[in-house]
Amino acid sequence: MRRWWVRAALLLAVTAIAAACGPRRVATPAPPRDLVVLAPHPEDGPLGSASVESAGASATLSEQPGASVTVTAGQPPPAPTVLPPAEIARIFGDVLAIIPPPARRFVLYFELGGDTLTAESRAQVPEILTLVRERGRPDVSVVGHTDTTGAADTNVALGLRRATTVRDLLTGAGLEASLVEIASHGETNPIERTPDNTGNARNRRVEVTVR
Amino acid sequence: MRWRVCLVAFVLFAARDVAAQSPPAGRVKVATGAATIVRGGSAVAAAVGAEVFEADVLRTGPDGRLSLMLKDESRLSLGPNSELALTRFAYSPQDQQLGLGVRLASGVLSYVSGIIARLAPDTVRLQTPTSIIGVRGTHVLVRAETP
Repeated sequence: MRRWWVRAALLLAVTAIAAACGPRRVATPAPPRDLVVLAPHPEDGPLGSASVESAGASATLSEQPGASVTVTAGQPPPAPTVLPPAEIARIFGDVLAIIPPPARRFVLYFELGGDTLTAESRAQVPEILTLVRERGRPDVSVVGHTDTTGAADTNVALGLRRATTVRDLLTGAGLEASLVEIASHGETNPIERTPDNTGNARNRRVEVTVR
Repeated sequence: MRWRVCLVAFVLFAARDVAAQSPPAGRVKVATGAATIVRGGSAVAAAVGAEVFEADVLRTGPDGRLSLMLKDESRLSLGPNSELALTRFAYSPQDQQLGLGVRLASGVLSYVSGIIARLAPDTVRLQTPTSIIGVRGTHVLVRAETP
């Protein structure tokens, strides 16, 4: 009977000592947090919008350039505020300075039914080559299109022939072949919608995109 | 036993080749200071013109900066002391395969949206340790601070 009492007291003492000498509580580090800003478009394009989600709640950034939220991990985002341009420049100047120039698209047109470029479009090729040289090693995509004259599968082949013609012009003038990607959309992606079997000069084209 | 080991080795090798064949997601446009691409556990310097693939991790040091143009014409720029993973890149408009996912573990990111955000805005996700950012165009800046 007495032994039981001693044991209990001993256990209590050990527990108390362990609690006193155990690891001390260290100050918890600040939780991660984000600053999210809806910035003006670099080429004055549309502003758009963004949603920021945290702890099951969400805030929407829209309408005002510089709309922003600071979100702390595990907490719902507060109401957005507008970050002044000077603050945006101070915090994000490093990344704003290195946004690459946007991709540029050229549309080249073809004579009816074949893979001969119109004289006007042929005269545009040097401009493409100049841009390629300025951009270092850009990706160049060359996509052929046709009007709806003839069968759909013939037009896929024709679109590819047109793309190949343009690719060969570019690589012939020194563009590195491994940077060029060619494809054909046949008659499926017209600029102007037409009924089937309709000739259309604007749809007989190759689109060259320099990224 | 030996044939089994060989089979496993072959399957692993083949799987590696399939992974390597997935087309590039984009290309490095600007790289200054310490800037690396981590792919499958090994790091290479991120030089201008280098290709970037889905699942790559991009890292910059205290003096590093890095910009990419992806195939859908979206533009990603990273400031110093940053780490970004390209978690998803699907860009095949002809068969409706579209999606862009990036995870900013820390640092500063500028994202200018491209064709994926225009055709399938709901598939664009920027993630940080703190939040999930959905982008409906067009230019979003993020600073992720992790203590």
